[in-house]
Formats: sequence, structure tokens, C-alpha cells
Amino acid sequence: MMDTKTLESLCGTIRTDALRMTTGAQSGHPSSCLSCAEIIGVLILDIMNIDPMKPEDPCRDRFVLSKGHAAPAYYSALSLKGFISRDELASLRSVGSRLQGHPDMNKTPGVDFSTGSLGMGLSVANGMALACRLQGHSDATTYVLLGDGELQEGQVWEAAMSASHHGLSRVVAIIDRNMLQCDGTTEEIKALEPLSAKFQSFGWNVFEVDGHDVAALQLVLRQARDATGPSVIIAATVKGKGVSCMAGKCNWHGKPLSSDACDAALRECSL
Amino acid sequence: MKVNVRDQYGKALLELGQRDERVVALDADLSNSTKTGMFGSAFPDRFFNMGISEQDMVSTAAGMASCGLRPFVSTFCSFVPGRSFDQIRMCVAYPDLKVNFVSTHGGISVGKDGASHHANEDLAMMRTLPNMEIYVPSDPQSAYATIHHVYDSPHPAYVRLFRDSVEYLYDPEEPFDPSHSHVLREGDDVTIFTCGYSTHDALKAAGILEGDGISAQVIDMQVLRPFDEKTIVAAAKRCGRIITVEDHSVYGGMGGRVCEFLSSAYPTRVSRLGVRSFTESGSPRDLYIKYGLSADSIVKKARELT
Repeated sequence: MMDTKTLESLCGTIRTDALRMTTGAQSGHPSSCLSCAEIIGVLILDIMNIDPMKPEDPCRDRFVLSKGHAAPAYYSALSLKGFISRDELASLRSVGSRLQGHPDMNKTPGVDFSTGSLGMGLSVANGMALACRLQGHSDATTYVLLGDGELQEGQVWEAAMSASHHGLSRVVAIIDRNMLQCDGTTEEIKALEPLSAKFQSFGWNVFEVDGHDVAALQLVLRQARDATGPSVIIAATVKGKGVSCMAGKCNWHGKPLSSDACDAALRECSL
Repeated sequence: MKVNVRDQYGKALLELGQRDERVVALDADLSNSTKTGMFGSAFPDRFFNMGISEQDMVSTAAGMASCGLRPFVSTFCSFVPGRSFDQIRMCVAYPDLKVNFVSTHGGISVGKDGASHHANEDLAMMRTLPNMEIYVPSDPQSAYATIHHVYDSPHPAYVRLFRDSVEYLYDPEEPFDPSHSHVLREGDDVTIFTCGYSTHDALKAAGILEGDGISAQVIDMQVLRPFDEKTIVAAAKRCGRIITVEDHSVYGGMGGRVCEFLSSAYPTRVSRLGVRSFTESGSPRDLYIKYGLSADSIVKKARELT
């Protein structure tokens, strides 16, 4: 297990990377990245069995970023792990870049699956877990990060049924429960609660955690991985966490900060 | 002797499963109709009945393919691609994963289940995905060979099968190459391009036309991607008059593909026969007559042109 202080510092780098990348591109979803920076950081840098020297290892753990719009945070974590260079991050969303607006498995080393249309990632993760089971890679775990808004897609619940039906103990879903979607709060637009009870009734182990608490994430992700049956971690988060102009506020989905606002946000993050 | 093309799929899939343990099959509660049940009985560990959840099925198959398995995905053409197009586009075509979609019950030849079950748009949908291979076999032998072909073809593939049993058009003792179109009957006055179930009516029409002194060439366009440009230009040059006949909408199907190509390669007058409206319940034969796909409809169109 990685030292928590070190990991917290690296997650801080993911936050500042995501701000710089989206402001540089003047496009992207910084608030969504700030919501899940710790979740992605702990997964990629501490939990997952992955090796940049063996990116195609069939026994490796896999990660599906179902909320593909948080790609900058993912790319930052992959750069910190050594899959891509730190210099490359500035190329986000420009023509010819390996760093697409949403993850592309054929362009970016370390990306296990292409995403961007919401609601599909859990099914993909189930497919990976079924394949690993069939191939005898019994330790390989598939992690999938979903936004809370995308739980309104019916396919997520088809997949939730599939995972419990097939007893996929090596599927771990994490829900970035920041309560916000494009047009308002999830409970205003189409209520998700009682979310924990919903997953329990679908046959899942349910864990709840503060999605910005690195030490707690380190612990709960291991518990979920080792549990019997599919596990979901509902991670309470703040969209735009750490940047006061956008934290917890609606109308910031898919909006980059201006150069000046980004400078202020970076100062705020370094406090 | 009439044979069901879906049984040929079941047989070929079983053979592939015996040959390669990476082959898996997924179905959405229609395995008795699609014939994936034969594979399921032989290889229960590699058969996944996903229930009535086509979107989940497609994305799950994509996840499997990303880990090196060779999934065959089956249900009715109404649902794959109809119910699951975004999943096909995002999870399979965009990452170019080797998933084979073998969908059955295409077109109005499904018959009495009616318009809800007449998939007349599937080829149009699949054609928009730039790397999707598209096959529309016309008989038991071509269906069988196509399944073996797509198993290790380079890109994701869509194979459209129909419900009814039909006579063999190709010698079951001879190998069939699904990678190009096939001239089933030579002729000089008019070329009839067809595919799938309609091929049988097209051949019948050519026989009737012969009695009128009209020499009709019949070409089985059983693959739409890769597209057999050479055969089409040769036919346009030879006859100068073209009819396309398909058990599918005229909007975006095989006939549309022929027109798109010829309009720049060798501009030729093309008359398209196909479905132009939502349909209704009825026997396949009655529907073919009413919606203008029968041999008589083809004959009438050929007489107008020649």
C-alpha cells in the first residue's frame, strides 16, 4: 500500500493538472475531474495491478472510466504512473493528440476501454470480468467509475443485474456521487435515492465513503475488491472540489476556467 | 430441399467453438430462434444468455473482445442494431473490436408478427459505421460460409439472416467466398442486384423475363462492406439498366449503396425496389406482393426499363 501522504500529494497534482489541461485546451470538464481526482488517483497509483512496462498483460487489473468526460484526471494519473509523459498532457483535445476529449483505448497507452457515451461502462466491465474468469485470471479485478447522473441510463441497471446474476466478485464499481448533473441536482432531475438500497436490492455489496478521503479510499477499495459478489462504492464527493468558484455549484459542467481564474484556482489548490 | 439459414449459423458457430476456445456466444433470450442454443448446449461455460437486455449484451461482448475473446452476438435484427446502435457505435465500432453480430429475422419476410418486427432499417444503420463489415447471405451455403469468414475477418462484422427456409443457390459441396458479390445468372439487357431472401424472387423474375426475350443478369450482393466495386461497374457497362431489390428500406440499404457508388464511378440509371413505408402483418408471400418485392414486381419494373 502506498504511503497516504505521498498519495494525497499525487492526487493534488491530478487536480492541478486537470485545471491546467482544460484551461489550456479551453475545453473540457474540470469540475468533473475535481470530483473524482482522489478516486482515480488511488485506483491507478495504489490499488491496481498495472505496469507501464507491460500495458497489455492479460492478467492485469482493468479500469473503465464510464464517465469519460473526466479524461484529464485519468490522463494525469496515467502520466504519474508512467504510461504517458508529463509533457504530453498539454496536448489534450488538440488535433493529432493521443489525449482525446474522451478516452480512446487505441490512442492512449494505459487506457483499457474507449468511453464517452454514458451508461455503458458497467456492462463493459462485466464483459472484462467474465473474460478474465473464463481465461483463468482469477485475481484480475475490473474497476469502473460511474458518474451519478449516468445512473439514469437504463443500461446501468441491466448491467447491475448481469453482475449479480453471474456472481462477478471481481467487478468493483465506484459511483462519483457529487449530486450534480448538467441541468441541476440529480434529485431534481430524476431522483436516484435511495441509491444504496437500490444496489442492495440488485444483489450488490454496498460500501459508502468520503470520495475525497485518500486513506478511506485506500481501505474501502481493498475491501470491495476482496468481497464476495459484485461491489459498489458510493463515494460522496463535491463537484469542483477545492475551487471555490465552482465547488458544489450547478452550471459548471463542461466549462473550463479562464486563464486568470485558473491561476486563482491553482493558488487555492496549493493552500 | 429447403433449409433454414439460421440452422447453418448454429452449425458453423458450433464448429468454430470446437476449433477455438476464445469463441463465446451471447444472446438476448432468443437462442432457440437465432440457433445459438446449439453452441450453448455444447459449451455452457462460453454461452451467455444476457436476458432481454440488448444494450447490456453488446457492451458486455465488447468488454470480452477487449480481453481477447471472440464474441458472436445474436438476437433479432430489430434489436441489434435497432435497440443498441449507440452501444455498437461506441463500444465496438469506434474501438474496432472484433465482435461479430449475427442477427436474424431481417426484413418483411418475417411475416405475420407485423411492422414492429420487420427490421427494414438495420443495413442503413450499420452502413454508417465506417469499419463495420456487412453481409447479407442469400442461401444456406453462403450463410454457413459467411459465419466461418467473419470469425477471423479484420473488423467487426454484421451478418443479416432471415427467418424462412430457402432452396440452395450455391453448391453445398463447393467452397463459397463471402468476400465479394456473385453473378448467379448472366444477362445483357438488365442487371438485377439483390441480396438475402430477395435473391430467390430475383432469380424467379429473371426466368420469367427470359420468356419475354429479356436477358436479365442477377447478381447476389451478399457483402456490402467490403464493397465489390468491380462487379458493379462491369454490370453497369454491360447492361446500362439496373434494378436493385432488397428486403429492406430503400432508404440507405443495398440499393442506396449501389447508387452512391455508381453516381460517381459510372453514372447509370438505377430503379430501386424495397420497402418505402411501415408495413403490416401478413404471410411473407402476401407481403412481398403488396410491398413490391415479388418476382412479378421485379418483372414489371424490368419491362418498364427495357
